[in-house]
Amino acid sequence: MSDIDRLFREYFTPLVRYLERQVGDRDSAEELVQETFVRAMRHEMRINERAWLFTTATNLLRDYARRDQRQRRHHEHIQHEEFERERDSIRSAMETPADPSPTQQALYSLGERDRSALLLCEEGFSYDEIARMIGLSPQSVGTTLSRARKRVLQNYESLTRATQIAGGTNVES
Amino acid sequence: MSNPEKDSKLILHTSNAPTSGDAHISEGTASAFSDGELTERGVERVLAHTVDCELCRELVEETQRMRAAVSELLAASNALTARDALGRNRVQARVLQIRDDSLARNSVIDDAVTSINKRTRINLSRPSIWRNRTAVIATTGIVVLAGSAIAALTARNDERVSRLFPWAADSAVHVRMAYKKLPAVIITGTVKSEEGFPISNAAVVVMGESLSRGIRTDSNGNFDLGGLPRTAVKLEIRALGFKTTTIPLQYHDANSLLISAKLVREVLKLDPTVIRPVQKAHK
Repeated sequence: MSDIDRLFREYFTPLVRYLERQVGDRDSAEELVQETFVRAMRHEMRINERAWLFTTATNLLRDYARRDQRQRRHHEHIQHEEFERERDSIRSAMETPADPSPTQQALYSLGERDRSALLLCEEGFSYDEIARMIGLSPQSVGTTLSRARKRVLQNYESLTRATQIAGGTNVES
Repeated sequence: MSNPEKDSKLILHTSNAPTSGDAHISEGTASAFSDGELTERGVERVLAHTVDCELCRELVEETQRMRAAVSELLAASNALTARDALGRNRVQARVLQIRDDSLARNSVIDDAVTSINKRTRINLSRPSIWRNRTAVIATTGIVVLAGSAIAALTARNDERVSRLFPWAADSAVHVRMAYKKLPAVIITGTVKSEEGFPISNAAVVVMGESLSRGIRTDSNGNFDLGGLPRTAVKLEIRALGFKTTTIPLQYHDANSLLISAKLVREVLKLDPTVIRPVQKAHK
């Protein structure tokens, strides 16, 4: 009981942050965190609980992405104007931006593995841990990260430049 | 740059290998350098090399710049707010609810199994079997099916069966008894605050020997727990903002209990949410 309390206190915020950056919205992130903790309770606590939680979250994310993609494909099948309009109105009602922020879009331009490596590094995991968590060789983590960062920055810049040209003023600082 | 892959391996993983002072720095090494992932020796080599090599100095500086820029970008993109503590409590409550629900489901199965096991005197002495729920459920299923099939046959006074399985009549009775013995208590009640306001969504958990079942109160603070075995000994009521209260259960041969609980308020102190940039410790 107190163990659960402690887990939540210590890891909830970093996990939500990590997952929100991965999936782009808070609600899905919280859902995934919930599932992560449910699994944590069903398993005996292991040696490195922080790495365990993030690995579990990353694996759940993969399932989520697959499901999301399937849903999107399904939506495309049944897609008609009404559906679109309805969704847009729901979105504006919820005050969530219909389009992901440039940062988010830049992150999406990365492959799943590169994105995970980058975000796990942001969470303070070491190269060795990252390698183990996402199945890279320890030697290639540095190169992967370097390329991922370069790509994110390039994409971010081209995206914000495009917005500026289009007359948008709402550019993230 | 000469053979970058080999360089990074040298610096990252074989710290006692001879360092070639004039080898250029690879992209991966520059990244490891800016993330504080190099060994002391590796750092020294990068520093020594970049004194003379302008190309590598630029690479390292560029890598460090990119690292900082990405961190900044990410930090700005989802600024964490006080909403955080709220979300944490909400998700934690949901997780606990899921746990309580699954505990409740499992304990009902446990009770049935223990009870049937006692009556039919099946000796499943290996504890590993009991740890495996699927095996337990399957065993129960087989026992119950076999038991009821035999019971049905013996009920028709089939003499052939009795001849073949002289123990059958006996065990069939036991299986039926096991079912009869199962739950008979209903616990209903309300949960209110000291001032008499109903508390909704409070967790009510019944606990006893190998038993733990939970439910949440509705919007009027009412709860209803049926089909409880008499092994339940206490009721625990948890609600956010109130002290957890435990109520001992006494049946006195009654088949239903009416509980009205009053919870005492408790000021919950949440930890402050500290927002700060992630700074990596240098290895």
